[in-house]
Amino acid sequence: MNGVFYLAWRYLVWHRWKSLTLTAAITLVMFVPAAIQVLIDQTAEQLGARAARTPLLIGARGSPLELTLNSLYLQSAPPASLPYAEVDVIRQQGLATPIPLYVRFKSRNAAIVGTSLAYFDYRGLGIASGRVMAVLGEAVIGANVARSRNLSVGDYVLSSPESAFDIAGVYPLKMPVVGILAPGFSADDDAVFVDVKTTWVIEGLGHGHQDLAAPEAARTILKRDGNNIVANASVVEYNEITEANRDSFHFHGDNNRRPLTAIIPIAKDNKSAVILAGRYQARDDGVQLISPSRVMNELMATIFTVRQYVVAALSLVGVATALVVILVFLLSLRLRQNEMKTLRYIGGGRWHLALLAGAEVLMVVAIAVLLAALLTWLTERWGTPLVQALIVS
Amino acid sequence: MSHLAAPLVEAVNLSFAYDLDSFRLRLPSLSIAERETVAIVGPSGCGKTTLLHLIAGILQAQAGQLQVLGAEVSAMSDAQAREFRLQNIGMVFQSFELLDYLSVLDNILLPVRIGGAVSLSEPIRERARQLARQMGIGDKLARPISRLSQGERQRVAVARALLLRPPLLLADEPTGNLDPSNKDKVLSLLLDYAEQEQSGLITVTHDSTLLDRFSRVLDFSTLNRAEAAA
Repeated sequence: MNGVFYLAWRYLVWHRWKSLTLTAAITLVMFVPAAIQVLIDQTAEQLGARAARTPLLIGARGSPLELTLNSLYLQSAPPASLPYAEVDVIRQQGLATPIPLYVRFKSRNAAIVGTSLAYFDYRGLGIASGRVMAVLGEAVIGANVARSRNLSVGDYVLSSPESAFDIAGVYPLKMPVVGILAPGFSADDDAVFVDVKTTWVIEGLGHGHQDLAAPEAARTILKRDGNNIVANASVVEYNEITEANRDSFHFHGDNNRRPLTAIIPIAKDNKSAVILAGRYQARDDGVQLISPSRVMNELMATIFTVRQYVVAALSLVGVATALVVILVFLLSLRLRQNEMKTLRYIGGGRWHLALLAGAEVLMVVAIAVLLAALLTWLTERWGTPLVQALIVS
Repeated sequence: MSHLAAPLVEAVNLSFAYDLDSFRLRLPSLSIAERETVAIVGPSGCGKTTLLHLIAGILQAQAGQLQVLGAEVSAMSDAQAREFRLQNIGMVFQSFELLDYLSVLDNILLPVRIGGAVSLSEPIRERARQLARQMGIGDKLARPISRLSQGERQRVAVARALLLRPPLLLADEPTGNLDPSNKDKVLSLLLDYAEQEQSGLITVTHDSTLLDRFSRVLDFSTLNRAEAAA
């Protein structure tokens, strides 16, 4: 018996390219449906878990999915904005503690999340080094951002312009890193956190510039009208908020009208949550309250349906591959008639010859099964972030 | 082996025909004594190879008796014939019939690996190495068959046939594909083995220059009555 398996193994090694091709084909046929299954299950579990930890979400009317993906997973295009005044409305109602979110800008690939310190407590995010942001312009970065860019406390992150041609719009803001989050194995690991006002500075709603009352700014003044001073474009605007220039930063217009992308209301209890949901249902002013869990369940239901079709199609491919593999082995046996005849002449029985051919198939399939299992295990371990990026982006 | 007391081959009224072939073999009588070295000659298609296959139990006669080393081969089942062949007969073929995907050593050990009747012990391995040394290919044990010359390949085939010390060697035109120098070497190996081990050797050959080295020469075209009648 061992001798037959040895001969089968030598045959496969000698015809290594044929063996590898067959093994790869069978591996893929088994691995791809398994990987799809694993990835979708894991993604559903992870996305669902984060959604479940965020029972309510308030945003401007529009796509609930877009709102959820942007606010919970810090991905996707920013949804329509709602005014900051909504935070005060929730606070005044006394039903929930509002956490503002403004997720519109990026620092390279990392989302810049404008929020309040309550967000860290709500998400259970710990500081691995440094501290949380304390003043305008400071940033706390996620573990993955720190690792991938080799950043530490004292370094800087820059906001990215929204468009290469947006010369008059968003300026890159240089922000000192004051803290690095401990890994949370969630979307927060890939984000840069700042105070919500800092995101407004990035957007250009607040700014800092040289003192126009100073004598050296005189040549930049175009017009004085009481307290209003109109200056030309040569006024030096600051792209970094420092100790020295922090006081020069100011906002124009009404604070309550500044934009947010979402508000996470932390309801005091279930009853408050129900009342809050009812109130928002009754409103007709462009603001909505959604349940992220329900939104994600609908998304996953769609994905599960697609998965069924994909797995069915792959099963057919699997059957076709199995038939091709059988054909290859049968043709190979025809080509090896002389070899089989010799083996019979020198003492091999029909059973041994059948076993030899069977052992070759068995070994190829066994190796393919092991490889498929290994790849599936690797996918289980490392594939979810990849598929999340694919599904969510 | 206990069979050595009996005649090497004893055939009486042996008759064989292929299912879809007009060829017929009818052998009224044939006796080959122990330790004889026999060359079977005759034109192509007269039944020389068929006789070797009948003796080896690869083919079964439709009528008559065929005793090989005292055993009634014509009455054996396929499994019994295989077992008998493995333990008593070494076969050498004109086209070597070696497996490309095995090394020289593995090809020599092939009857043990495929047969299963004898376990692959260290003495067997040592026997294979020793045979390879005797054949002058002891330094090429790990080499693939495709990197051997024709003469070396036939020596591997001979070593494979001798591995289990068979009391009977059957060689079907073993020198047919070899140059004169290698012909001589290979035939000497077979004859030396037969002499040293007191084994029988039945060789089919077309090469008349080699016949005087055998103890007996049979012209099969006259022995096979069916062919003679035709």
